[in-house]
Amino acid sequence: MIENNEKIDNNQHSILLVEDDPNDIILIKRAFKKANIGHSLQIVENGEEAIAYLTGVERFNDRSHYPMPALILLDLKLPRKSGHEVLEWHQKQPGIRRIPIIVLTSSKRKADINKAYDLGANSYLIKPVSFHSLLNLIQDLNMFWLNINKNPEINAEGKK
Amino acid sequence: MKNKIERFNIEQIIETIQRIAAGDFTARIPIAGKREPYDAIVTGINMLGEEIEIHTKESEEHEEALLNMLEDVNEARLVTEGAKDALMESEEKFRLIAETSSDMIFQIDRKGNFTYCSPAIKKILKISPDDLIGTNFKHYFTASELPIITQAFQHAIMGKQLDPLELLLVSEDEILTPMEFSLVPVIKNDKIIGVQGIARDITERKRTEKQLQKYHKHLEELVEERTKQLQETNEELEAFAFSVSHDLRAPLRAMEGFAQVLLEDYSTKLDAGGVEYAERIIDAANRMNNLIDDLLSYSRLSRAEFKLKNVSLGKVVKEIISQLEPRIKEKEVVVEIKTKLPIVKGHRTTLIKIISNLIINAMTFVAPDVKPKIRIWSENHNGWVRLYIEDNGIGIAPEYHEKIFRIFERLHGIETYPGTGIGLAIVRKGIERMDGTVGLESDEGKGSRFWIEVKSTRAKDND
Repeated sequence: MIENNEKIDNNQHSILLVEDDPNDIILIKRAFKKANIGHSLQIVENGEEAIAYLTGVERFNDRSHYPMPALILLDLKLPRKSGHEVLEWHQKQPGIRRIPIIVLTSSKRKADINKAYDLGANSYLIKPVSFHSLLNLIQDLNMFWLNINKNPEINAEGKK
Repeated sequence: MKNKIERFNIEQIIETIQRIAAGDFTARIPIAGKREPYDAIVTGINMLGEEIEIHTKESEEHEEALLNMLEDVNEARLVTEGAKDALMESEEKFRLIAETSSDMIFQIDRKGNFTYCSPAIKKILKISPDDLIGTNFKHYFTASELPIITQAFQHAIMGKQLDPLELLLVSEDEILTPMEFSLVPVIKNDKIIGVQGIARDITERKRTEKQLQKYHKHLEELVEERTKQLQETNEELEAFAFSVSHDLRAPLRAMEGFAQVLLEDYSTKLDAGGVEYAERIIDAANRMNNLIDDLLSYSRLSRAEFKLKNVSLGKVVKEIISQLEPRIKEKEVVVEIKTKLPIVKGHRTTLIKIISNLIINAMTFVAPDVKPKIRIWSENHNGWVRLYIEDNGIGIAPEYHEKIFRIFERLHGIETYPGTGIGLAIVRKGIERMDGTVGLESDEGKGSRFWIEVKSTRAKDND
């Protein structure tokens, strides 16, 4: 599935999913499994944890367990810190800001979409209601963002 | 001899001489026959008479001219006396007006010192005209307005036309009175010798103006407050819509997703009934998702502000048809666009929503064994474009023509024909927001012909 050329290190194999809805977590995990995506899925449940994960603090200080992700899937409506706040923070972190962020949310609101892009989101996807559509979406996402798209080097080793 | 004398008639000669002496200078001696030797005398007398007559006439004429002149002089004297009276009268009038006017009437010399002021000054500056005369106007203005009045004075003295000025007059005890000044130059022998003017107390007017401003401000504040309230309500609605779109969809995804899991992972443990129920859960979830979508579009249409722009109906219809391509193929729909569709004044996204709702309806509401056939064309009428969408569907009985545009109205059970009951409500709301109209011609079993009417980009024409 993944082209194993030497440039890809272990860190690039993970995807960070920021999602608070346990049902959505189960269904997204299932879609990943069904789509045969080899990247490991790391999950945090709010904006604050997402920031902690990316900075590598608190329980996330071990990068062998919590590797830097190649991609971030971010919900917008999150407890503690919203997805927009995570985007805002992400934009200001050298190194970390290179990691592409794909917003994956139910909001079709123009204002939310515009704000996400203004804050540096790389893509904006709507969670479909039907599981089949979700599976198609995850397959397309894998195809484009993990295969076609050329991703950057992530050189920030946790703390700034 | 006697004959000769008779010829000259001595009595006639004497009479003529007597008449001339008496002043009848026209008297002459009649001449008959030869005039010798008295001829010379007679001719001499006659010539004398003539001479006298001419001179007398001249002198009479002179006298008459003189008399006339005297008369003229007399008349002139009378006129002058009248003028003097009139002048006195008008001076009196002016004095009366000036002395009784509540406006301050004044004169200033070239140096800016008062030379006259009406008694109204007493009320305003609390000093008498006599005290004012000789003082400079500059003493009676505030420091900030002094440059304005000084410049106005200079302009007046140069003979420039001035607009009335509103300035504060300062009394000795520093009471400020708003006044309106009108200044004009005083001209004597073609020279400007000073400035005269009228100053009116405008305290009352200013007070009214202030009151008006206060009312105006109050009104503005009220409008602002209401606008803010409206905005807040709008924002609340927006937040509500956001919440609906986000929070209601999450449980739907779970329903749909886990029902799917049941079908995929537990199919061996489910009997036919169990499978059907799981499928029903999936259907219901998808329907509710469509319902949320339509409700959101409807509420957005009611609130959104949009500007009408030039939109090509041709391109809009083409885009919709390419979007619906999979369904068109699946149902084997024939879509025929009969005329070249024009450019209209509208809102693109809303037009797409409206027309695609109508096309979806046209291909949905057909009898089970009929292949949908849709015909689309447009007509221009007096600055409006009417777009027709005609189908070969089941048709709508006339008594429902009004009802179908209401929100949540459905004519068929969900099992027969799918739909949220919001589609045509969106069509009507959207078309109304573009100042257009919507209608239909249809009867049961005879197909439907829906039309929407929007403003043309061309002024008024037909085709």
